[in-house]
Amino acid sequence: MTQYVPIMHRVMPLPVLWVLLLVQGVMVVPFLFYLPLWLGVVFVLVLVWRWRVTHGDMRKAPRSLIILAILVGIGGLLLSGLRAYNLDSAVALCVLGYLLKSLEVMRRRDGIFQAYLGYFLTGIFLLYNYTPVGALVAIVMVLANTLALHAVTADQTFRWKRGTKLSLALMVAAVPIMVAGFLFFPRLPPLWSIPNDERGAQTGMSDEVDPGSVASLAQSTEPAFRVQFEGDPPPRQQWYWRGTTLGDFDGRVWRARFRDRNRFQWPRGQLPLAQPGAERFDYSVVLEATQQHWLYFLDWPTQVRGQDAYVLPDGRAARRNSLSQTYRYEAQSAEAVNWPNETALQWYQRLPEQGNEALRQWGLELRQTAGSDVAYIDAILNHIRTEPFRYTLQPPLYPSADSLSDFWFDGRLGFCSHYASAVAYLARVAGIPSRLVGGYLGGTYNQSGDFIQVRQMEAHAWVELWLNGQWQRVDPTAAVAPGRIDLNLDDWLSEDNPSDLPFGARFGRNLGPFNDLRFWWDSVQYQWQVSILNYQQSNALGLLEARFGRINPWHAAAAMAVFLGVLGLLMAWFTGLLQLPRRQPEPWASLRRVERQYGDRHAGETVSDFMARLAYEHPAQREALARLAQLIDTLAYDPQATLDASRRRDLKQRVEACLK
Amino acid sequence: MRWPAPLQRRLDAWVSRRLPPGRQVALNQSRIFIVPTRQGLLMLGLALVVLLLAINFESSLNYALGFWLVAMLWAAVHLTYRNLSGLVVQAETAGLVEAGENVSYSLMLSSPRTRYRGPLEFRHEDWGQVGVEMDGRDTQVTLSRSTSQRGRQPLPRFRLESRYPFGLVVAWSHIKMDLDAWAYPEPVEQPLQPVGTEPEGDVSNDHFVQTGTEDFHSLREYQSGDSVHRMHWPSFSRDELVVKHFVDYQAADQWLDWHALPGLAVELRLSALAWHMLRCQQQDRPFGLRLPGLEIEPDKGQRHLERCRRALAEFGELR
Repeated sequence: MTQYVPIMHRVMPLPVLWVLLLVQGVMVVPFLFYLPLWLGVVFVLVLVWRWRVTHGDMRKAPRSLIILAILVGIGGLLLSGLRAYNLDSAVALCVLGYLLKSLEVMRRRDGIFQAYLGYFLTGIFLLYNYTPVGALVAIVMVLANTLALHAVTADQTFRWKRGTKLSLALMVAAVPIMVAGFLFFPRLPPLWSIPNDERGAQTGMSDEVDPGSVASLAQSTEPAFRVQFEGDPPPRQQWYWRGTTLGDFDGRVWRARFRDRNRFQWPRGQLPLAQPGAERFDYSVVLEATQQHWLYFLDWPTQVRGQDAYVLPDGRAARRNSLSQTYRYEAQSAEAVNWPNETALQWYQRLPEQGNEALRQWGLELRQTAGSDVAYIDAILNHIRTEPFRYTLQPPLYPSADSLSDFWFDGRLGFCSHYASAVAYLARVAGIPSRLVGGYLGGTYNQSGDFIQVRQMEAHAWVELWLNGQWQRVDPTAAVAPGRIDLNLDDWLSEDNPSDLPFGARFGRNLGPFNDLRFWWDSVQYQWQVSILNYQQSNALGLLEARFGRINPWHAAAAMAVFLGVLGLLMAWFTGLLQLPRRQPEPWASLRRVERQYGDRHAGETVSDFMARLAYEHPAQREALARLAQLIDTLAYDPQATLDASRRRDLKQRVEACLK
Repeated sequence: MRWPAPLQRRLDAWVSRRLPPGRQVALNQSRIFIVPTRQGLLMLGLALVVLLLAINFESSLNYALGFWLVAMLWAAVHLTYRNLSGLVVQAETAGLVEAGENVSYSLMLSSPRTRYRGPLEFRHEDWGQVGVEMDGRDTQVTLSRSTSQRGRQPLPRFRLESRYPFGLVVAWSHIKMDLDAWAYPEPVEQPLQPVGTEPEGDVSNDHFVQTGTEDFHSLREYQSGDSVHRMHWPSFSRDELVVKHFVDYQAADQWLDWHALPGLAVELRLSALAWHMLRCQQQDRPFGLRLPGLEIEPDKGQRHLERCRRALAEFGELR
């Protein structure tokens, strides 16, 4: 007689503890790429203790060890700079808790708790990594936790093979409902706003540019965004993707007018947009998560359509919430636009009183000789073209307060920001309103996916000047390095400065298959972003409504009931609960036909006895019955007899002869 | 879970109407109940939390994960249900024990289709839980419970449940088997009174029935352990080790008669009979049993004892 132990309080056997340990490893390792590595230290600490437990020392961890682990954990948190309250530190705490909880997992309840926490962490993981690879990792995580749940329930009877099979079966059986839910569940707006929703590092253009303080431009081959045009894309020379405009200059640093800091002072409501003046382009952009606010679009924008997106008066579009997920929006641009009345021209002319005196003098003199604003700008660009200026991604530092003068007269080495910054400054010296534009230049056209991919390394800065009543683009980089504008960045770099090409982009440039593979993978990612990550349930509903007309709730409920009913039947059939009536094999099916006509065999009556009785009762059929009886006997009892096509035909004929 | 008493009575009555007892019970959809466990409901809550994650962080993949968790709960219903579906519980044997001892019942689990059914749990407050792993072959289960009084000990309606394979849902059935164990009375010493119907002593029919101390019977060879006092000394002088063998003479057939215990309550009488039976068995004497309406011819041996004990256990039951 066993005492009844409530199920949740039963102690788990060793093999199950092993499974839980393994599952924990599967869960924690992917997080180590996103969270500080000291979590690995805690993991090892936990591992050591659990190793003891799985070798028979069935005790909870002593309080001292728990306190030590907590201290290491919290200390690590603080040391890794996760001091502020944000998602990163919340997740780090969560993973830490997950690790520490396992120190005392002994009973079934604890095991289930661990598995459920694991499911939740899978959801958290998907906030960080939502690439196709990340989804695969998440599937492995779900499998691991389902296996843990099974192991905990199976207790003593747990077997690896059976458990894996059952877990997979459960997951596969759940797929249809998951897909239906994913397709038709309405995408709700966030129920409450999440403070400090930043995950990982910021990428893309920032609100500030300080060209003098950058010694080397990081070259990342990570994609920044992907653009798909409706119709033909514009020529490559026009692939200027603008993001931020920086109009506030303090002598060294250019700043944006509307920044992350002053988010709540941004103007609201619909603002006057530039009117398209020439050829228009409609396109959609899938932007990678930048943790910033700025949207990118082709020069010059006339419309932006996207959830929560709006246009700012300084020629930008932004979202009020930072982009913590890939984000898809549609935009329209035109080759030329009519700008609305600019109200802040004075602000775009403002210069600090002091600093860069040499350059200021040089500019004023040049303006005098040039005669007009346009000629002045031409003269500047000509100066860059003729003097020994050089474009490099590894410029010297210009640390002094007169960094622009130093660059212009002494260094003459720099990248786009240096040239743009100097030209914008010179324009302001002559009273021409000017601003820096940060964005990207160029991109790679992906044939298979029909989109343009822009990478982080294609970041660029240029100048906009207010001339003749509208903003005009001036790219001084074109003067110093014309190839940068005309060519694909990879082609240009590998011609001019191969060492500036990052390893990832250099590798396999000349290997056809590798390049194809890269393009294919890019287009897979694009499709993933468009159809999965930015899926709106109106897509599927729209398709259905286009086919079946307007859907009302009754239709929806009926459709759901039918769907679930069919699914339930299928499931019952697969699990063996429901058995379809099976056709009897020959010769019993033929015998059954005879029985249906003449009455059933008696219990214990052999086939030949039965046929003999029938022959006696129906003398007219004696001959046919005897022939049938002989064949049935052969088929049923002769092990050598096989039922081939001719025999089957023969059998059918003989049966029909009897039934006449 | 306990319900208020009147409700519980109605519930019990409903259950016994719905699930009638039998020697063999095949579990089908009318006998199997299935609901999510607390753990399963927690899973549902977890899925909601993941959906909240999806909504608030606008995370598309978390919508998929949330619905996956919900759908897994749905799929688990099928997997758990089939553990019980089609299972046949067959009553086998039940024991005969002294009242107050534990009695065991044995059941046979079989299944028309060989399918692994995971651990099944037989639950009743009398025995706690008995787990058995059913892998499709015929599997024997032994349930045991304590007895308190003499008489029929039916196997109570018990709960057969399965949470396998994920513990998210529990499928169960309340099974009442037509299987009775019996408890014979606890032996209590009471003197037997002579009864008039006893046949008068036909001494010639006497025979020794056991080793005793009263009458000399024969000489036999010494075996280690024999008492020195029984040594046959005259033989010892002839260098033979021989001991005297004594026997007790008894009446031929001891009848244990219901009427030989007048003035006692029914249960006490039965207890006394049980005591005398045990004594006869220990002394290796044949005995017969006479109860109102039943007579068992004198005999010896374990089988006979069991038969008489069974008679005592069943006394008073409608047969």
